[in-house]
Amino acid sequence: MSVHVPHRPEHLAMARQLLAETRAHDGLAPVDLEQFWADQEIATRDPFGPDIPQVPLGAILTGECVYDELGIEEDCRRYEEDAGWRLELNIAFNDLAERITANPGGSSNAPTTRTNSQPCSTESTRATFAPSSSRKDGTT
Amino acid sequence: MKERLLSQGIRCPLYRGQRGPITFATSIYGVENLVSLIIENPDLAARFRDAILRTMLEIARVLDEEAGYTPETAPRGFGFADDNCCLLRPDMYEFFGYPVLKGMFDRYSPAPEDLRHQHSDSAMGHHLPTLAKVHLNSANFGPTLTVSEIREHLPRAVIAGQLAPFTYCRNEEENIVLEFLRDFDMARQHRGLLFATAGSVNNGTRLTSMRLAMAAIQRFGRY
Repeated sequence: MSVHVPHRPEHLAMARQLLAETRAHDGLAPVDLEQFWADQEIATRDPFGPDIPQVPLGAILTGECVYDELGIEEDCRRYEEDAGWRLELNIAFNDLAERITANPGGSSNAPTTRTNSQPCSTESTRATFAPSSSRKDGTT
Repeated sequence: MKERLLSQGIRCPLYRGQRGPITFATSIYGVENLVSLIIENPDLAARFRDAILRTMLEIARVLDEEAGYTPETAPRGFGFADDNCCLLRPDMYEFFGYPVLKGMFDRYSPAPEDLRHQHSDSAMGHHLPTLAKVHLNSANFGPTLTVSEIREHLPRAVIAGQLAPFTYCRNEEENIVLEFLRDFDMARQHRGLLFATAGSVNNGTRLTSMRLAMAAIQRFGRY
């Protein structure tokens, strides 16, 4: 059972070291963002690739995550139906995403967090091989 | 409808994804009713199953044609989202679900590289042998399954997982890293891991948690 697989002692030490460094940087985990997204672009092309530098990341945040991040009450229906409100939330969310997760170089190949247009969908085929670039209008 | 879409510069949508046959059937007929039908009246259940497959194939064909594609030029690949598949026994899934998957993949994913995807973020590990028979090359299953377990049955599938969605949306920082280390250990030899949630990404998940996952990959997840 995956969630019940016990961790290895060395993994715990590795995790705690990374978290200590994260806390020392105001809660922002130490990552070379420019390098990460460059490697991500290569890795997502073929997760089996013999020459990919790292594991690709598919746990990209979506429009479902705007509420808690912005400290507002979840309202999927309004998000879906009120385009103006959705745009406002997406811009605010993407501004945060650009500070926390995006490539500071701003390459078009370095996505910030994607906010999709169907935030309330539970159909999760959204773990994409190639996450789309962030767009200010929140579409993908 | 077609003219209205085209007048707005919108191309006709294609049909390349669908709630899976069990989720679809239980939505129409009810969970207990479907289970009872398969057990008590398999002939009628088979008709229901075949109607689902026939309808899916027809929807896809009509939309392809409306979009101007022929069977030869139509884009390939198909994906199912079938959380409810976990509710059936393996023999029942083989009877009701497998023929639908096979029928759609035979038509829309004939080549090994054509997408054959299934999302089922439930405890559906008992269906891995059946899903192996349709040669999935993309899988997003629930957090009770391991990368090793999935890989054993689906040697060519990109495994999107196996970070528990509740670990991520509760922002359990230590567990996010530990679950990555666990998954990378299991994937290192054969690769094919896309580190993702074993299911959805839910409200509550913070950008700092995503950044932590990125840091874990960059520091510990290099091949």
